Amino acid sequence: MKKFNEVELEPPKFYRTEGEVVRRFTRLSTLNFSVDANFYPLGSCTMKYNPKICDFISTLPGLRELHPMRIGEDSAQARTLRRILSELNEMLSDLCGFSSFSLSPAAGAHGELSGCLIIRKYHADRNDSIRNEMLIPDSAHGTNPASAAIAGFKVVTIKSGPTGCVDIDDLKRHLSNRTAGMMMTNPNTLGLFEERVLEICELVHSAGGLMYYDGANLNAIVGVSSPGAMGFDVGHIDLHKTFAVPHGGGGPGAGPIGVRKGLEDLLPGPIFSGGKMISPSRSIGKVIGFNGNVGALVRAWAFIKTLGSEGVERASRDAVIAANYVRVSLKDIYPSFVSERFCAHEVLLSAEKLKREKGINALMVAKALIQMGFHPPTIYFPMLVHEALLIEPTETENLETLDEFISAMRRIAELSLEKISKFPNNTIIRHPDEARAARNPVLKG
Amino acid sequence: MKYLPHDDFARRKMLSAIGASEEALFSNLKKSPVKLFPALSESETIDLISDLQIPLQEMESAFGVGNYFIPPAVDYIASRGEFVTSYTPYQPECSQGTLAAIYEFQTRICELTGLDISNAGLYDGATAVVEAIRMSCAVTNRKEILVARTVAPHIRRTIMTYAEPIGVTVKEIAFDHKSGMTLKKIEELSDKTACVVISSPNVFGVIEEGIKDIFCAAQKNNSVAVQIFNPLAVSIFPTPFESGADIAVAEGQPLGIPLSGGGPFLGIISARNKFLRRMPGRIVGKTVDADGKTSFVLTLQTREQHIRREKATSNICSNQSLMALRAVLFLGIMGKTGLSELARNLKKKAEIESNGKRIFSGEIFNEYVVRGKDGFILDYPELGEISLKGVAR
Amino acid sequence: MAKELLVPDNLLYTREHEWVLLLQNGNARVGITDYAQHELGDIVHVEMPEVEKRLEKGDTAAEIESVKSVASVYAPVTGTVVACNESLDPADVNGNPYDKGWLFEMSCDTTDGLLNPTEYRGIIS
Repeated sequence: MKKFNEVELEPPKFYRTEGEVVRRFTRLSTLNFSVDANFYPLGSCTMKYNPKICDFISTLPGLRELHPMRIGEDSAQARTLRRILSELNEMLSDLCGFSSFSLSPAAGAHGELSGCLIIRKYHADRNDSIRNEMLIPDSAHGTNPASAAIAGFKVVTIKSGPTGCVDIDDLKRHLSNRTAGMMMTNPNTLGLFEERVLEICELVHSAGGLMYYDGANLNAIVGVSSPGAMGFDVGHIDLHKTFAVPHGGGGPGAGPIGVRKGLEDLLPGPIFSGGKMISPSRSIGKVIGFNGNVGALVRAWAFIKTLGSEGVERASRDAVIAANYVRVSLKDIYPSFVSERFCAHEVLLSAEKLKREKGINALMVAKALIQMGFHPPTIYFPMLVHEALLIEPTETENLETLDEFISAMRRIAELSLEKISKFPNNTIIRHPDEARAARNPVLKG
Repeated sequence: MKYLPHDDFARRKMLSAIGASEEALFSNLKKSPVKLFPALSESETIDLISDLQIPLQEMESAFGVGNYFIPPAVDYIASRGEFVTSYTPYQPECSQGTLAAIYEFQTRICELTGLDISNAGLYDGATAVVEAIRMSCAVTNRKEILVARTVAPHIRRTIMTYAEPIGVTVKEIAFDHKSGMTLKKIEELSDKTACVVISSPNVFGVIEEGIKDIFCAAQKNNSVAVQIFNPLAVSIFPTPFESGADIAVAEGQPLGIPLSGGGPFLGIISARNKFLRRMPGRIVGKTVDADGKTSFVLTLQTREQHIRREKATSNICSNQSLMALRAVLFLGIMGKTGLSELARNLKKKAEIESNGKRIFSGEIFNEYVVRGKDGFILDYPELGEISLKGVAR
Repeated sequence: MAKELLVPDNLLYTREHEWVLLLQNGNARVGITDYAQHELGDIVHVEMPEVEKRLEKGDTAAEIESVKSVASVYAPVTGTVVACNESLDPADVNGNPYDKGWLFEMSCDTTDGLLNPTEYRGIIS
């Protein structure tokens, strides 16, 4: 029997009417999990609630219809837009302990690439181009080494120590006069605060390198601490994570890049400051065609304005409390080598014990969660832990939801293998053959 | 704190389960106080930007982006929370909506360009050109690229930012000052040339009539032929496939995406099959599930950064997925006939409006160049004071 | 688990889970072991070495892609690539790793340093 929202997934050759388009895509939308409808504890993604005032602001006609080349003009609309983008620059700078931000990069990875280019130019301008190595922890997200490589750096991997944090001895072994810098995130991808971050920054600075902050995990610290205070020189923020810009099924986000005092000249223009647009004198150049993802930027501006400075700090604190609450409630069934320690805004658990005792692995846990209406956490990342489950509840989920998730995770551990292997059976498809999709790519209808 | 659900009772309950104080959780963080600013209400926030509630009412197009009409059904569907607030479709059972929409997007783009493959989108037109250049250098193992001077300045500047750090040399190809078209005979083609990049229509709005010959010469030289196309113009002019392009890239903003002062826009890329393993970004593929039903998944992920890391084809992770959804809605609502009708109307209007004022003799699509400062200033010192105008409606 | 995995007695092995079959003409035919294919999961693509490429023992010769990972195949001996399994179906690397799933052939001066089946079984148990 057909379900009420059953839809042919294969695209039609054409549509006869607008109604056919609306019918098809309305049904397609109901096949998605989303933050609006589901708990979405993806580690390192910060799937917090997306306030609708932010969406509303991005639809205002004076903004919507403004041509990018008119943003420098004297109209009331252009002036207002420059004013709020300048204010966003100021707020982000203050929150991150940096001096100025470029709002151009369209995503985190884009910000990382821009940051690497800034580091590159910094050394080149000082006739120190021998510095072509970028140090990156083995726990880092793949965008870090990819961005460094595209910026022309040689990637040098630094091991994580037994505690899950950067191995300082391994770092020292790899510092040299070829070190351009180091990319780090704090807390790291294991959800742990890097306790020796001040020392790490000092070591790299002494060797002549710059420190890059990957802002993916900023939601654990913003308002409490800042990358600037830790000693970082350059860093990006993921506005679609920390500052509630919606993920849109994969994008658009925004990855503004900030620098400490003394590096402002290197930023990619245009810089919005004091209501004006500035072209930095020693800029790395344009990193995107026009002005950046302005529609996302104004959403972040509205988010910060309605949260206030106290709210920004409270959000980070609640995010860390919530993650630790999930940690203590599940660490008996899903222990990992870090689950006995305080975590930051996300907790790294593991299904390894469950796999050993009952044959249930992380993938099965994920499928069972889908069956129960939860989007699964991040699985099999970071690779330092087998059967990894990286859970980030965020600060916007109420206690009832957290408890529901915890009890679902506990129930899963009691399920029979036979039952789990059939999950999910309440979604439109089940266990798609990914090997076949890669072996025989069919990429269009 | 309208987004934060926990009250002190809830916090105490959680901290008691954790067995620590709130301060203990943050004990090894260096504190850094921030400037205090109040939380505004929603209406106060809107009041701060009341000027943005009034449209400028300019119906223009320039540099390939403009105030094109967006069918209301595009906004209607693209604002559904299930599309807006969902994540990257890494878990296929949770995201067939997004995956089916992107698969359809890839399908439509290939229909527009006539080429074999596409992807889930890139940041914008300019960075899409950069990705095409990266692909070309990787495939040919060469480090010199030829870029037509008629490619828009903002694109050429973006190329320069990424080319220099990896030792790629950029040479410009000259254009004819009468017609506004790139010269057909390219002196600079050599065994170092990775690719030739031509925009048609180009920044002057002019259709590059010699594009087929230029691409032919490029391919004889084992260089990659890259065309920057316009997603509306392509319905009434030769497709990139017909022009002999290997890779076609475009700015997708005209396809139902608002200007918003500069973005988010949509980078479109399409290519011949042989570039499949070098394609950047996410790609949706069709497969079957355990019950034999048609399903969609992100595929060929071993190209991407989360697996290949420093050897990835690109560093791109987040893309402009919601904009790709807008584009596929736009293309579905307009249909092939609607699209070519729109393109023809824009062309006609531009030709009438610019009659006697255009400085170039070449055929135009919907944008054109005039003497003086009437439109958007164009930075070509060799042409004197010129500016760009265009019609979007 | 290791006991169920095939380790044919007529082959030589490396620590990196490649197998070597010495052909009549003195060349070495190379593939990956049952253990390796099991660890990798469903294999979707193989990037072959170029014919006539000179490889030192231990150089990256080929790359094997599964759905979610990439693994390097290293040259088990020093020599020159003479042939690749052009018609390889990636699924055969899983199903027939020692037979239809062979990857490439290279010239081979010496088999010194390769492991015999017993030594290899010792590594994977």
